[in-house]
Amino acid sequence: MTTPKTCPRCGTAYEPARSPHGLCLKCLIAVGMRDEGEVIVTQGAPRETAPPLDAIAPLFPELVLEEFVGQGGMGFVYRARHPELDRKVALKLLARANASDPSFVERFRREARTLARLSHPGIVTIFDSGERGGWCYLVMEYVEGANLRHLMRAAKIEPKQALSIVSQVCDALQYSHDQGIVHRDIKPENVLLDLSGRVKLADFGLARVLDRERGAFALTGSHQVMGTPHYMAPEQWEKPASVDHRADIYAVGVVFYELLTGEMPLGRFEAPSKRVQIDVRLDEIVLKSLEKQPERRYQHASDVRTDVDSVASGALPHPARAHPAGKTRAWRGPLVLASTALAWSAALVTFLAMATPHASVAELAVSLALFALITGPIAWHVAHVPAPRTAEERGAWRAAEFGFGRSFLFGLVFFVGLYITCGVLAHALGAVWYRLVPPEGGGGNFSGPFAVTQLLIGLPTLLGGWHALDLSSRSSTAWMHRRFTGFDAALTVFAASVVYLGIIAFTLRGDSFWTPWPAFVISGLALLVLVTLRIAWWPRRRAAAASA
Amino acid sequence: MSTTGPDALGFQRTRWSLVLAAGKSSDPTARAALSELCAAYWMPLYHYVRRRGHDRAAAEDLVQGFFLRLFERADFATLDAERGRFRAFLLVALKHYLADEHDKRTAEKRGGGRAPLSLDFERADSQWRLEPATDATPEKAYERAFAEELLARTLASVERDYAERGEARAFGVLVGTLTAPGALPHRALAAELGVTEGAVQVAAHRLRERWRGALRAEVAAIVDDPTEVDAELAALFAALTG
Repeated sequence: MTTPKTCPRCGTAYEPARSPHGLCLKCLIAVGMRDEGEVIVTQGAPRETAPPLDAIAPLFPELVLEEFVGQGGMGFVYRARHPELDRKVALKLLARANASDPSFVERFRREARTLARLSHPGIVTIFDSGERGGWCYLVMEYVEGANLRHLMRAAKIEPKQALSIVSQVCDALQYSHDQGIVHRDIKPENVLLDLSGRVKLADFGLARVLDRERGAFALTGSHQVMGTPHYMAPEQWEKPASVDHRADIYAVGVVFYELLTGEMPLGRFEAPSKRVQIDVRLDEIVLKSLEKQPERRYQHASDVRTDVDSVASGALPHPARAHPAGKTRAWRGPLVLASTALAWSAALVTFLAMATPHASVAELAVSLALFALITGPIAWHVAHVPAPRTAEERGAWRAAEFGFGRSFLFGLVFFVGLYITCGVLAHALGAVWYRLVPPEGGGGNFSGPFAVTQLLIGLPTLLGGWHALDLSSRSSTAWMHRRFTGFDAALTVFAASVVYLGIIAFTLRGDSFWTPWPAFVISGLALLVLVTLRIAWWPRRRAAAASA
Repeated sequence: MSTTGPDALGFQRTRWSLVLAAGKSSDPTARAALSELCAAYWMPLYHYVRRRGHDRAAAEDLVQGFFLRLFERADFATLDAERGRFRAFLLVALKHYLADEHDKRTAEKRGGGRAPLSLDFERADSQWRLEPATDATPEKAYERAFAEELLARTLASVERDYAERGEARAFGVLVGTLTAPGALPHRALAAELGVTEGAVQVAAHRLRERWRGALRAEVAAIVDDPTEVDAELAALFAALTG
């Protein structure tokens, strides 16, 4: 029997060996249950059921109807194939032409002709339209993929992806606005994503045709035409006749807000960055799109796109820094840098002064160069570990976190390894140097077997420590790394290295100096740096904790 | 599965309803459907019989003997109360059979070399051994094994589907997202598949839809009325609880 596993989602303990692909069986079943998948939204008036395939097929002899795909506020959608062109199409039955309003079909045709003019990679292309068997229909490009509503339901959408989606939506909208066509019903259901993740807008302008026919629709009860009120701009409610392209921009704002926060901007809503950790610049874009007066909104979809792209192209600032409550302390960097540099140089001077009688300058120089050569890339690496941006990533970091004690131990292991390796390599190089330029009175205490032993101990320790440091740099190299990345983090590593150096000097090499006091000096300096770091970061951490 | 599951409008007959409609008549289609269903879901019966305390050899004989008699008689008419669901039917029929056999003690003679289905008892037994040593009743063990078998079969069919379209790798990478949407970082999956994060999200959604469709179709095949699918799913869900 294998070890049972607990499903992180439903908390059931199960036997992975008995489950296909080790999945939780209960969750697998839950996916199939009715309330898990697409809820077919029915509210208000009773609605018609979709006409069966064989009832529709005779109306469209040029198409091979394959499957009923879904039903939305706008109508029934079938997947079909155009055998002549061998291409998949979507057939959308919009509404029964109403006998009481014969002009409806004519208006629908006119609207469809306008829509068919739209040709843009971000807009679902319309191939054919008309009226058959009492149904107004559209034959459109079939988008293999999912709509944004599905995706939002399935998983949290990351800010980066949200930016890309909004940018693409705006691009398509600007094109249609240039053609004088307003979508009027932008909502996640109408934003389709194909298999490569590209956005395609569906149901352009249909809201206008359908809205006018509110009473005439057997398909949609009055509630459904109004079915997406949250995405409607205020003027769409108040003066439906005067709606222009800026109503679409409002709807984009709502979708954007929802993508970022997972909630709708209802009532007196908060800025997105107050709800989730994102770039504050996005607040401005969202809020400007959501202005009540059209005049105060963005005037063009392309302007939204430009602003979104500019945020997306610059690296997103780290959440901690983006938080309006925590302004960057300009003095922190220089202070830490200065104290670290001071401690390092003081330690170096002491070390050189006290240790020179035992070691050659060449040895020391090589040793220090090696130290820099190894620490440099690590600092660079730590500086480039990307900060967690989403709640999930933060959760993963937290789960992997070592905690201060263990991080410190790993760091110590690393620096011990580093110290030994550097020392041995320096010895080796020094020995070569002596061989080439023999010093007076002979010299060099290089011993092959001893160095090999040292190297055997040092290298694995170094590699293990490096690995641990890499792990902890994802969680916390030193305790403060949790909150800081980039320059701050690199600085922290250097500063912390002095602390380690002090400890090593004190514990390992105290006896190799003439007197033990250089070790005390180094340790003291290390303590000084530690205190400085503490002072530099302490108030901020408290402020961050208070605002959390 | 697509030929037997309900179509979009839910009008098509399910396999179990086909068997029931045929009743006692020896309609070859119905017999084939029954045989197919039994071949798919015999393993839970083995679990049941083992849980009742029979050893491996006896359990093998009993299961084979049961099918032999089931196909001989096809006496569904006598099982009115449990007709609706294949899962319940199968267990009740087996219980009847076991009761009879207990009286007659002729299990060995019946099975004798004429196996109506080719059953992999090796697999059944190894799975049986994985069963946690609980004090679950034989009925509970049966229900549980039935749910497990159904899920395993369905997932295997979806996997086959992917493999046939050359997307076996995508399936392997994405399958974890089925039970834990959002828990696996899409970035990592995207990197693994060499596509964009957006594409992963869409693909994961499609896998989910496919799984959902396949599962509902499979369940529809073992109930006599398509409207029963949700109730049966709830029953399977309950069977896995505790």
